[in-house]
Amino acid sequence: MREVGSPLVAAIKRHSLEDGPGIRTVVFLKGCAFRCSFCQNPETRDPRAEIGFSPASCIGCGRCVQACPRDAASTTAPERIDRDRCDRCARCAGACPSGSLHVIGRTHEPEALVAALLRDRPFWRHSGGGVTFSGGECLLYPRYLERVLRLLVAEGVHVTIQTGGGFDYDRCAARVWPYVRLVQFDVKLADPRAHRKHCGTDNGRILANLRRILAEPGLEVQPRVPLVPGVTDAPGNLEAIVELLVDAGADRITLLPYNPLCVRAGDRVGLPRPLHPERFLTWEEEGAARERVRRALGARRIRTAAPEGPAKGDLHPRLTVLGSTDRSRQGA
Amino acid sequence: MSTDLLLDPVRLGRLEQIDLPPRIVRLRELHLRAVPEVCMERPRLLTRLARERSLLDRTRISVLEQARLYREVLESREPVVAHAAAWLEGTGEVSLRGEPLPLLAGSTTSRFKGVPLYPEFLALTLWPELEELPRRRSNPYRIRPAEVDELNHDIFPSWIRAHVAEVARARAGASLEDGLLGHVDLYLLSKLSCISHTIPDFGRVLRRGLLDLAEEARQRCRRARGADRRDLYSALEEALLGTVAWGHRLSAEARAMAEREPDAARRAGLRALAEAHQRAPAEPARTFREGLTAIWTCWNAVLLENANYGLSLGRLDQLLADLYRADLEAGRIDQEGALELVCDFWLKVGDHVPGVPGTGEAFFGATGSNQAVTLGGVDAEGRCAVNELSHLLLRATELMRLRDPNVNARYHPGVNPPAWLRRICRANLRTGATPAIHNDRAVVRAMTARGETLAQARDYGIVGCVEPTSAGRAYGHSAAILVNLVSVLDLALFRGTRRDGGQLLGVDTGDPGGFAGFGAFREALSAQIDWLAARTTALNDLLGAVHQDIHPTPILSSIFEGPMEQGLDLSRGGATINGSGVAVVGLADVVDSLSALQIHVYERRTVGFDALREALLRDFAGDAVLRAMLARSPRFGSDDPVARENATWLLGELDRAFGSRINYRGGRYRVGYWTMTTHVGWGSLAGALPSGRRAGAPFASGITPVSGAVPCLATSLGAMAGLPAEAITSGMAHNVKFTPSSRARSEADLAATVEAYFDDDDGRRNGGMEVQFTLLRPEAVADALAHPERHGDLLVRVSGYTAYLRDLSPAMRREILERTAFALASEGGEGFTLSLGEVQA
Repeated sequence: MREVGSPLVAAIKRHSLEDGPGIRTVVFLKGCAFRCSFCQNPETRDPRAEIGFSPASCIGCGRCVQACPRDAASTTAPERIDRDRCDRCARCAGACPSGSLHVIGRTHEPEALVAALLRDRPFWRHSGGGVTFSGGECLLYPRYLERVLRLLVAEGVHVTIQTGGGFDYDRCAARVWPYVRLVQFDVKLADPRAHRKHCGTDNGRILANLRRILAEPGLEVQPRVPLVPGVTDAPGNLEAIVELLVDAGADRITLLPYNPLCVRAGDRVGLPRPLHPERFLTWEEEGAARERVRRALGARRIRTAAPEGPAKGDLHPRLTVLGSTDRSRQGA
Repeated sequence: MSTDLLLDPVRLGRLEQIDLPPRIVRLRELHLRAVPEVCMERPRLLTRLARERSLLDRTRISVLEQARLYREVLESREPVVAHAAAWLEGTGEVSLRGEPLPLLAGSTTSRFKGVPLYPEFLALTLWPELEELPRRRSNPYRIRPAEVDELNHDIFPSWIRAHVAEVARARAGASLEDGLLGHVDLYLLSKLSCISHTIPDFGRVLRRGLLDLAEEARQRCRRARGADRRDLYSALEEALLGTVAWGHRLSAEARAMAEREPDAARRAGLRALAEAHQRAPAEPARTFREGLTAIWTCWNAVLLENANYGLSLGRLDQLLADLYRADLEAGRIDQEGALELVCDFWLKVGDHVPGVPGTGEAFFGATGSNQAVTLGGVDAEGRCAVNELSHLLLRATELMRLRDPNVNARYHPGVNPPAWLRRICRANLRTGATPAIHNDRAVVRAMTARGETLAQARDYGIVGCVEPTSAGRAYGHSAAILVNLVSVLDLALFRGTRRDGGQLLGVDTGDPGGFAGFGAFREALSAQIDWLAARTTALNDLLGAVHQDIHPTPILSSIFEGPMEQGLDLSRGGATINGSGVAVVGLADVVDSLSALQIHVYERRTVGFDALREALLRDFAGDAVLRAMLARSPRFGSDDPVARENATWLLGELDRAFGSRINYRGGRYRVGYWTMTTHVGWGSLAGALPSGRRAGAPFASGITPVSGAVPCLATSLGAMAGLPAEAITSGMAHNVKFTPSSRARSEADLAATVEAYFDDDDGRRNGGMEVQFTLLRPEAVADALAHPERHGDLLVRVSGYTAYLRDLSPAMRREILERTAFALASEGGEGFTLSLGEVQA
């Protein structure tokens, strides 16, 4: 995909506790070549702006129906917009009084984006946090990232990149890596056929990029494997990923707990629901995956500490507890 | 300094291991189960003595007469060392014989958990519902039929013309009379019920003892010029000797019980109790126990004189630190023993509840007395004041999980160690509701803007809900006036009348439909605010003058900085610092309404004013589109410059309108933003608003943004941190609700979030002044609502104070459940990481 002008920002999530060290401000850029069935942010796949619909705030006034020149809006259709007819002119969103229909994806000039992000400086300062770029595949836009990151790094901001691995390595190495402190690199499936089945493309480029980036001196890389029942925990996959990571010189592996929000994540932009479980897994249910990783590491003579269970002592404990780390916080 | 015993991290760590002793567990259980009982002792004694002295029906009672009266009550009250019986829910009268002895004798009332009656203030509002009190659905009180008769036929009739409201009404004159009680939809005047809301100077009590203070009063009386001054000094002496007598009578009773006690251990306990009460508060305190005993005995005396609405204990970790250290060094006490004493004290402090009539439940439902305790922060010189006792008092708070005392923590960024903030956050995670956290930097800035010296400002304690008050020297009555700001907006919208028309109430500022622009609307609102400020402060001053004449306060004056030095009672301005506080309710709803008017009526003109007014009167029936549009206007608590500008303007206007006025004691008015449950009570009475809020819905609590308006925590905290602290001189209650997770990081995340909110961003903003957390798991609340009997002690944060969920009205419960909930972490978490670094050899 060629980089033309500024990418669209789908959302800026402030006060995130789970997208890198400390409290993070996360910028989601639109556009991704993969079509993972368990995608958490399907509204960021399409690089173009699109119309989002949140049924909870719809008052059923029908102004969208009047506003639409292509007869694509209907108050009787649960998804509101017929996506085949819609040409994304956004007149419905302009007419919607409640914001139930809204445009996803706006351009931000680098200076304006950085000014908006810097409002969160106090949160980063006291938590060892910073800004995380995510997506979509934010590394589709190295030229834009370079302009933004240069400004952020001049302000001393810690930058994390989240990637699915589908990017042009040399361009990113030249424009992005110099500004980045941490790359969270998602590795989903080792087998190319399985990858094509669940993510829509071949994984050759991902794995090649992974090997190269792990060899990159001075760049902290955190390979992450999202647990998806029946997909990434399929026989052999976790073991193959461990093999690959150990061979490539990774210093850690993170298992991301399964997040059932993927099932309904596409509702807003009219995408069909994937057939994945609609609940979180318990710490115990995820234990098998953890054990497989530990065994695979053991086979490579790598000893790992026993995982700590959920934290005790709160008076209001959660009912279900998933993975946690005791990774110590980094200084600002 | 590094060798200070009270700063030893190992000792602090050990505190974490201490649990409640069985004796306290049992007392706490009894405390929580006991149903409050109306106490007849005070009204009975006071009525008889006032009648004998012909003080009823008098238009002026001198401070000396008042002091003699109270001294006689203190010498006549029954000294209760251990309550023989408590009414327990569902079980009738249960004997406490053989139950654990308390470490402090005496009590606020004659009951284990009592409702003290103050017929000179508002007790007569209970008159019509006396028989219903045991049967009412929310917060019932027990009262015996014979007691109802006595109140009906003997006590209450004596006070018909002698209580503050009636005396004020008789004096008010036509222009103010209906404003005194008739405008409860616009404002509430709390001098009808008391002036407490302050912190006594316990420092002088502990340092000098009351006998030495009484001697000073005697000396000063001899030298004083003028009968009024001599009266005042004689009154102070009477009050001090009365308090000493109360302590000695408790001591004598404990000694007498010891003589009769067959059990050796209990006998020793009673003797120790007698010894402590013999010394304290008459003499300077020598031990930690004597310190607490002195404060407690004085507290009994102060509450005899002043109904307890937010009378506060101040900085106990500073007051008692030297005594605690001396005890530790001498081996007289250990951490366990000190914690047990504090737990006893906590239970004692909650031994009474304010008598609230059914009509008041909507406004002050489920409140305790809001006796604030303040921990941490800096000393008068700006040095870190956090010590082991701060941690110990916090530990007692989180183990006890009581609504009273209302514990508040101070944190000075950059001066207090970050570990102190993390400890405060841990207490919040453990209790789900307490303590509230105050930013010393912003608070001190607000207080010095009102004239306190830096040293006075740094020595602040919290009063009542959240009001910072220079401890022991500021008589601020921070709750003097409660204002329903939404009803003031209504006056601007409806030309100075109520919505249903009727007579002109405020100022006729003209038809907003004819205004040239939003500026003219602001001017109209400003005029209504001025009208309200003039009126409420005039009424407050009138009530203040009534207090001066029929309710001087010699007991409180005797342990306060100023009255002794200046020869003036507190009610006449004797304190070193004077003031009156205004609590503004509905700020966020009014700011949002202003922004909606600005954008939609005056700038984009998407709706005409007449059409809007009609929609408001119809409660948006048939106007869903208009309402949806209005609700998307810039919201208070967001980054939107329109919202920010309207908030800053309105805060400034309120500060100007009230802050420019001087009260009857020569002090300036101050404005704060906290609501108790009035945001639900007043909300239920208010019509639809330009912000899109429907009729009857609660207002946002405290200074908190409207629920759901700003779903992003960083945005909300960032906006609140940018508010002008100098305009918020009587505190603010900012509620933040979290859904907690049990991840180990929660505590650090919470602390970093508070630290960031308090940060002044290198001078770009003030930094947040206050935050208080509600950390509730939805499942826990659902279970508590379904099975209240299992969750009698589930604490929730209301606004400024905490309450037991079971005591709250259904509307108030709903408000808390519907507050915006921020996630402390998603259910997913950030993943589980294995290091590949350790390759086996």
